[in-house]
Amino acid sequence: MAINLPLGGAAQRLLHPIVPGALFGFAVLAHVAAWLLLGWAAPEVIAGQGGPGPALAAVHAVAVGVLLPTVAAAVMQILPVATLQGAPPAWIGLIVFAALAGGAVLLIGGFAVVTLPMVQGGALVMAAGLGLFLVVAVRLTWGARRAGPGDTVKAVGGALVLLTLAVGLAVVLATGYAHPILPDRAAAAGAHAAGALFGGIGLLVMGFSGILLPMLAVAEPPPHGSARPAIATALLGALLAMGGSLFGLPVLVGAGIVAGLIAAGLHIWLMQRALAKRMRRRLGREFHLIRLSWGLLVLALLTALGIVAGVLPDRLEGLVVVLALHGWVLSLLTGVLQRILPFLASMHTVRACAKAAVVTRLGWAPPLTVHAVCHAGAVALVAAGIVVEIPLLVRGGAILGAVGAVAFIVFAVSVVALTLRHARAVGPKSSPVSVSVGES
Amino acid sequence: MSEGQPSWVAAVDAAPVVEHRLADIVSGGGSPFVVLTESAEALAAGEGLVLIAPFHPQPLCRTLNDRGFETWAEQLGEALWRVRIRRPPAVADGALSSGPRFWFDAQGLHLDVRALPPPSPMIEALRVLDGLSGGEDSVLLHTPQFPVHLLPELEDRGWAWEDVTGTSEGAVLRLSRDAA
Repeated sequence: MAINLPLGGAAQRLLHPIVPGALFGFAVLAHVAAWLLLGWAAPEVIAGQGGPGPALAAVHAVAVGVLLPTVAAAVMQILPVATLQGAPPAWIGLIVFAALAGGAVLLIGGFAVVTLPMVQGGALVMAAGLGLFLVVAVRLTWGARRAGPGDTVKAVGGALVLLTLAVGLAVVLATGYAHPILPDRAAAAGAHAAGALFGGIGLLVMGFSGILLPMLAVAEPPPHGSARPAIATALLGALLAMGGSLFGLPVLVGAGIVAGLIAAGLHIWLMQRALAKRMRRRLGREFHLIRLSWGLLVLALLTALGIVAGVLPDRLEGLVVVLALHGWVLSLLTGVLQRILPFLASMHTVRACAKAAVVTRLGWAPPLTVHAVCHAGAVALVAAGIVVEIPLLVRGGAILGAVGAVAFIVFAVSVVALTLRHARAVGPKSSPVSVSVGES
Repeated sequence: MSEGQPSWVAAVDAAPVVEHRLADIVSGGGSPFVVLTESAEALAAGEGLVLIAPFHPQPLCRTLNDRGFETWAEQLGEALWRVRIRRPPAVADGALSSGPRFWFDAQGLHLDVRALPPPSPMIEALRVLDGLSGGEDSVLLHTPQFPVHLLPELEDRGWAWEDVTGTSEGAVLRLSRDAA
């Protein structure tokens, strides 16, 4: 029987697999590094110390090592498929990858071994890559409005504003290592963290969750305009927290965190409401991690509020960052990635194979169980280690997290292996048969 | 009048455009889902039709509600339901035309969700498939692109799929109920 399916217009929506493969591959490798660096930085993290060193390297391993490449791959590949648009050319994707990955290696490495020229060089390379990527992201996000998630445009717009401010502060901070120009480096670093982490990353998460999570659950996205209150509140909160931190006004920082909590609550409520009306009968294990990520975001914000209110000691700032980055961000990303990787592989089997492979059969499940258990345990152990000031607990948690991250790599490799096995089993595409495509 | 019954139900009962019996549609070899959605689509604003069925056809009612129709089902006895379907007066014809399209030809029942904006094609396809009665065992599904995310859900619902062909306008899957 002739079995063939041209991609139905989706061929031009698929990047060459080397682009998402490289970006996602870099992200899963940086995932391991993020945990190992956290273990190395245990004493600094417990003390809540800033400045170049393994702690900043661990923080940036998540932010620019895992998050940015994943967002870049999702925007350049998943957004075109999910919203029926043409994908950008592969060469653009490869330039973005080279700049983001090269910049991340320099930046993270520079922080880890405290070599400031590396940090500055990495920041420059990454800024160039980000500039190119943002042009692509704005075009695709704007084009995605017809698919319903018009709010995504607003969230990404807000994220760009905050990330620009945060990157600007980062450049000033990086320059200031050699030529001090800031009266209060700690205040600027706090503003950078608030703007980049809870502002920029928060709004990116908010915006793309409106597309990706309903897609994973086969559900309608939240109604147009429904995310605006959450987006506006998050933007306001981040600006308040940044301003409060820069000018030494804890009341403003507190107000910003409260606004962030309200925004997080609104976002979670919207997502839950969308998921409740899903058509997918059984949500996969990825939604355990996605829901865990929501809980950890709220916990991170509550901890930050406790510190600002004087209820918790200042040294727990490290806990806030770990709960947010290794907790909230990594839980969400690994949850989404474990569905997106087989999804992309399946799309490529549609293009190249005689029969498309079903998403659920392209990936070995046991490593995901290992990852989920290790990841949750790692976050709990590291958090406990910071609270009770025991570096061994933090290191144990970090090693557990690294084991989970390696298990995630095994899963990613299994997706590639099972896809290749499927391709060998069914053979290449043959010529199409005809079917009527309109009412006669 | 039964408790909670909307006022429009009496008007439909008094002058239905058509009264269908599910058993007659099935015995005539027709597809209940297609016949009833086509009948509903043919209603003018404010008009209604009646369906007599041995059960409450909730998936059909849900699909029609999603497309802007009003429905009211009433149990008259054991295995006897009277369902009223009305196009609301305030909704113009065009407002209801954005849903999936159906047609029959020599290849069978076609379900076309290509005109819907993403992610509605997958969602509408599943809604319609969930609403099909047991008699409809084969469907040709037209989608704007190959519905990778749909395949596990189809299999979960007992539909086998086969990729038939593709066109510049989308993809086509032949769906059939698993014998198992």
